[in-house]
Amino acid sequence: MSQAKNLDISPGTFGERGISIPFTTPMLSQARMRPTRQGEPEFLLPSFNGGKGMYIMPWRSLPTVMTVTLHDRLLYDALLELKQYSPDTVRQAVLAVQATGVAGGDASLAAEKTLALDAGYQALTQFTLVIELLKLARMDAGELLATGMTGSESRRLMRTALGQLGQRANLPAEEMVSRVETLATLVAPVGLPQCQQLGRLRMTVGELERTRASLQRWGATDFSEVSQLADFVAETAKAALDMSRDRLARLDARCRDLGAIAGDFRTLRAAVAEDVTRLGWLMDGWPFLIRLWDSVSDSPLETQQSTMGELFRLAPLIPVGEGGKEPSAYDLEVLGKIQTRWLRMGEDWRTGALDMAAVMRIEALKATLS
Amino acid sequence: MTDPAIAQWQSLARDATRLSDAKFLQIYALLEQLGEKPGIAGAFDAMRPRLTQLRPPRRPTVSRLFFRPAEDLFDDPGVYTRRLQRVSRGTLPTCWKLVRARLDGGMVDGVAQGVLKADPRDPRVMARVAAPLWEAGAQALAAIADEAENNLRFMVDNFGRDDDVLRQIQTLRDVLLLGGVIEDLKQRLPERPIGDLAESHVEAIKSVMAQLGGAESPQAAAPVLLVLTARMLRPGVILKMLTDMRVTGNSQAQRDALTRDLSGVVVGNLLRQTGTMAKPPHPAQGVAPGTVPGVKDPVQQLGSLAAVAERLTDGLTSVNDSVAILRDKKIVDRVAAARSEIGEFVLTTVLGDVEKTMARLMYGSGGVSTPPDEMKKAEATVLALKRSAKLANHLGIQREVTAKITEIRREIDRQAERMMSAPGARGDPEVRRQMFNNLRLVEILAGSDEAERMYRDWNRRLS
Repeated sequence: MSQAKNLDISPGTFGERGISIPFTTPMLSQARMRPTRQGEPEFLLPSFNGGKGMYIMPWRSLPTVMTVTLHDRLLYDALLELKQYSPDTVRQAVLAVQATGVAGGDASLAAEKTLALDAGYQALTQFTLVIELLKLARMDAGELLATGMTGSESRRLMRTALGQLGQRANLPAEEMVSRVETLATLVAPVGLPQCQQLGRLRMTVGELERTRASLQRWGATDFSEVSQLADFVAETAKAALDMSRDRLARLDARCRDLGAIAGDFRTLRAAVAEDVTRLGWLMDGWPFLIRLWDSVSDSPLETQQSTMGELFRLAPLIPVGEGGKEPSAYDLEVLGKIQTRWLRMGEDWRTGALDMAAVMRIEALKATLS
Repeated sequence: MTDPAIAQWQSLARDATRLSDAKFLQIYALLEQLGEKPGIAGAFDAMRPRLTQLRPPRRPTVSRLFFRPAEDLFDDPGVYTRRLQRVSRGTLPTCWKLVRARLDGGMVDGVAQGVLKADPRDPRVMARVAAPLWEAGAQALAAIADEAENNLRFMVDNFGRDDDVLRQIQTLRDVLLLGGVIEDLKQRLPERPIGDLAESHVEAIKSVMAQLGGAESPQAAAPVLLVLTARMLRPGVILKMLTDMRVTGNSQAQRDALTRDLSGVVVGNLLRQTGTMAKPPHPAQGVAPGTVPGVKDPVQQLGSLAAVAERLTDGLTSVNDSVAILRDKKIVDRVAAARSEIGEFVLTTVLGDVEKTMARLMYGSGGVSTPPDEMKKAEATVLALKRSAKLANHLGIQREVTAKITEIRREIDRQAERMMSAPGARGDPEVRRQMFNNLRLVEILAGSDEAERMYRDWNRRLS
């Protein structure tokens, strides 16, 4: 077993809630992972038969309950290799496994594309940072903005510009370059407010806003008891959105005041890292749910009702310790009963046998995620 | 319209089936705009197999809305079988002409206006709009049946001399009388074919049965159950619900009679479908036997055929108990014969050359790794084989299915061995990609444990 991973698992924290893992085994899909005190991952699975409660299982117990796909076995191997667990590090592992093709060609292409986009966006973030710093120092960015440059040429010019900026701030050129690279890496998942192209998490916030509105509209027009589940999921989304917007505002304010790069960088780095990490936690699990809801937008009402049960089962509640509501604020027992009544279970769930058609539906959803 | 003109419409529709999807749909849209004219119905008959595949949005019309509650019972004239409480589509145009003549014009105009104003995607609104139509239409159908029975001239002029049409009209009338209930229930249940039911779905069905007659009069729900069994993947589930229903006093006999009738219909329908599955519905259109109309791609065709076999086997398995209750040796023998027929169908059409198809798709491109589109087809091919393997026990074809799977596994092993022994295999990303392609097929065919075992072995050799 690998060394103990550092993740805050004190009661009521994001760490205790765990990180959602896009497994392809239907019964494991979106299970949450958290390390035990010994550092071994354990998995939190919403009740299989739609009832309330949560199963907490170490990986070695899973084969006695269900057949796990090869993708999930390789993903588990990759998770064990991680030095630290966070939604971001887990995402990297997920994409690397997905890119092998073990979850199918479409999912593989999507992962490769996403990894390339991530790398490109990080470069763009660094470039934007340099331009903004030059503007701040009232220096000419003309050369850097010229078109038709090669990547290495652009990097050389950026280093020169950062060297000049460092000189003005009495910082060695290498230190300035290192600070900008560090900040760009930290902030890239969200993106700078000055950058027209949105970062991944900023986009997810926008998509979640759209989904919340869609859920509210759906809840208002569905006259069955399932509308209560829609209200719950929309409210859960709203809580995540409110906190995310607050974090985004703080992060954007920090990123607009870039003078701190040359000043108290340690404090800036810690604050930005905290903001970005927290946004990662707040959005964790939502991209899959957004795609799941999108996938039934043109489906008949009954399919949407059944999917709503799945959204309710997987909706990531914000833990109390992180500013979320007490679970007693929701009538979870009543909602759980509604969900159970509307849940259709395939025959295979009782035997734990793998339903490859269901696996492929999950793989298709993975191919739409980034 | 004259007969030659009708023939021209049908000929045009047949020609249209040879066009591209886009052109075909364009012609369909133009025909739709012509409305309910003689000959158009025949043209749609010719186009239907492909329309079933393309599923273009249909313009709601008053006649379509009128027949909607019963649409699950409709069969094309070529495959219609008597005495199964089904309705031939060939009967519908005449039925509608006669019903329309008996309906109050103001009411029909009102419905037509309602159809124009309502959102056609909202079945609940459409059901509200159609409610008066179903009620009055059911009465009109009763009057038509009555007249046909007592007025030979009327019967011959409209339906010919075949009394079976009267049974079809009776079925339509029974279903339309409960049109609102049926349409409401459809909205509360999963899409057809209905696989699994949630607790809420079972409750919805039970509450409709209770609402219509409950323990005192189970027969009252018969039309609803007839439609439901036609929508279910495993109609035996509905029969079981009926068998389990608590009844009181005299209604026990009524419930048993209903169970017997419905079981006979369900089993008969499954046998009918089994009998026709290997035959083309419209031989004149050049559809080869053992094919699903409208599906061009051979791999898609394979998947569709496996799905048909699975659906029928599932259906037959689900009615086992009901067949046992019937204690009718003839039906039991027919069910056994149907199983054997499905088994033969799977052997010849699904399993046929599956190993060659898979080898051509996977290893026929000449490159190291299979191109993505071919890989998808290879996956679909082995999925069809896997589907057949699940049925093998029920159909008595285990030996043949196992042989095919073994042959494919051997081919994968041979190809993987050849690829990994080639110089430069280690570190070649194409080899690695193909390793995962092979593993995908192994996982589908032999399960995840076997796929993991092979991964560990192959990965060690390539590392």
